[in-house]
Amino acid sequence: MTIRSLVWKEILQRPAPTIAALLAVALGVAALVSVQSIATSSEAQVARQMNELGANLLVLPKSADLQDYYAADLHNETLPEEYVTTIILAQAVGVEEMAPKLCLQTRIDDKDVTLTGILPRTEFFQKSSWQSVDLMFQEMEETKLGSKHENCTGRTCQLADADMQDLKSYAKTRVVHDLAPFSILVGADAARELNVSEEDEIEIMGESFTVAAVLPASGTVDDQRVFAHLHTVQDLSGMGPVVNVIEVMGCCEDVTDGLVAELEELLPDARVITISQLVEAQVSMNRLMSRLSYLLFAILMLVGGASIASVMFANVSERRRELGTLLALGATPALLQRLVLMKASLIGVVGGAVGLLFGAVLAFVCGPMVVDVPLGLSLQAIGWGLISALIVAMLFSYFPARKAGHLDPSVCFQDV
Amino acid sequence: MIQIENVSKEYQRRGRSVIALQPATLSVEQGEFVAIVGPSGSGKTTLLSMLGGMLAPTSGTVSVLGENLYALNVAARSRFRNEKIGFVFQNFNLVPWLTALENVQLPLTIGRADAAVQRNRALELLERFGLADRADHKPSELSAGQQQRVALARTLISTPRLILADEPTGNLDPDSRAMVMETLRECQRQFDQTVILVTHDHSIAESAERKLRITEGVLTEERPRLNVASA
Repeated sequence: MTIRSLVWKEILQRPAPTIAALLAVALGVAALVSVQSIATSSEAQVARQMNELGANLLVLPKSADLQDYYAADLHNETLPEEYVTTIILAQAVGVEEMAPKLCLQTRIDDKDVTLTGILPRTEFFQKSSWQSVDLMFQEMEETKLGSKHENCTGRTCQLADADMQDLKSYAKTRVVHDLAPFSILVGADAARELNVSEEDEIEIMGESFTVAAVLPASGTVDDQRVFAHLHTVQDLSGMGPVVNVIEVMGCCEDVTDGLVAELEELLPDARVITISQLVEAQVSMNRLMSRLSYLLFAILMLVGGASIASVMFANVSERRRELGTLLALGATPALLQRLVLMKASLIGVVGGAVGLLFGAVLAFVCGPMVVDVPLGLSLQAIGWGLISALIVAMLFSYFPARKAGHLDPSVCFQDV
Repeated sequence: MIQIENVSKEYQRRGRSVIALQPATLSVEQGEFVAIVGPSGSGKTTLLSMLGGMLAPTSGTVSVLGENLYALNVAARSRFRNEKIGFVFQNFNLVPWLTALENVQLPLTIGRADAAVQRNRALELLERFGLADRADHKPSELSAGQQQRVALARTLISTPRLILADEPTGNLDPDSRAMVMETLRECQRQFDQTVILVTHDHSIAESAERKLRITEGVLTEERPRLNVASA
């Protein structure tokens, strides 16, 4: 028999208080690991999106509320579609592509679907209402929507026509070269949900559409959408030539500030925001969540520590005769202190591990409900959680351990 | 073997001073069997605790095997107790969540003895006390007599030079009482162990080689063999 096995046997003999203390610690670690993992994953996702959309702008109705870049068109406010023409005519420096969108909530096969109208690039110069400016367009270089940004190395500048010709590339480029009026692109999740594949025919709002492509998963809300020609969606909605948002892809971040100012002047009734503004809001929200998780963790660990101290004090009091007997048999006060601290460290380590497991499950189960991002565990939170659990357990057991070490061994005689 | 010089013990209770043991001087030789008698609360347990290195006297010195116990630091005194002194308690003081075998092993576990040595010696002693078949039983599954035999085995596992027994037969039936006393006497004879026993049992006290009495903290020799002086 060893000192360690003595601790273990004692815990097994009185498991309930130990489990209670252990759960208190586990709760703190679980909260930290789950919230931090969600916050970290969300930050990583935002960073990835920022990287992809760094130079993009959104032109929105003034009254539209916006929290998510990819859901910028999910509101009931509209802009006139002719704003697209206005932007093209302005020939602003660095405008590479544009993506006007209109969303319509509908049902396909009894399933709720967001039908999103997108305008293929070939249509930018063909809308009937734009005929008056046809001559001007003919003078423009048809592949450029704005003036060239000299010496630009931006990502969207390298977007080749071939990229846009491939319908499946829409998930990545957010631009499509051509799309027939009754063809649709179906997001990866929506395709699975509706059980459709390419060339399938499906009926939407009484009209028959052909699935032109099933888009690869992008990890955004686009995966749950069905995309159709903007003018078809406008006709189906009966809303006329309007859009919910115009996404303007800038060639690089160097042009962003100038573009915002120019578009704000050009479209005084619209709101122009940059991806960085949007990201800042998301990042500050993530940071707030992260800070709150540490605060919550600190509070829960204090509660856990108090619980451990209470359990340990009760344990030492309850075992006075037993500990006195060990002293009589030759145990040193230091050994008794070690018995208490070993038990505390076990509570800390196991509590931390249980909390880590619980937190991971919580993050993976509840995470996707909170933020729509693929989750990974925060290693920093795991490290903090496990180390803090051990330190708190040891720290709060210090005084109970001292009490055990200072026990009067004569207690084992007291009944005489 | 044991030499106490002008040892006294005084407590403070609710701001008042209580004298548990008046200054006493006593000498006990190796291999003696000494009984201490006296009414409850007279200071018997106080004296036993001081002899065991568990309660520092207010004044005087306690020497066991030539070692001034209270001149040693706490850790050294604990080690000395672990190696040289064995206790037998009236209530057995077995650890309830350990088996009989594990209880017997305890002094060697505390002394960090090899696991196999611990187990073999504990099994030997349990066999000697007729408890080999109860090795895996918890104390609550044993009778009072069996529990005291386990406690005795625990005391003897480290072959202490001094055995301090605090009313060891107080909770036992006559057969168990006889067995415990026979074991203690055998230890004294066979291993030259010194036994100091606190008892209320007149017959046990009379069978001891020496009989000491404590009344209201005053230690006197009722049946002297060696010089005992109460100062």
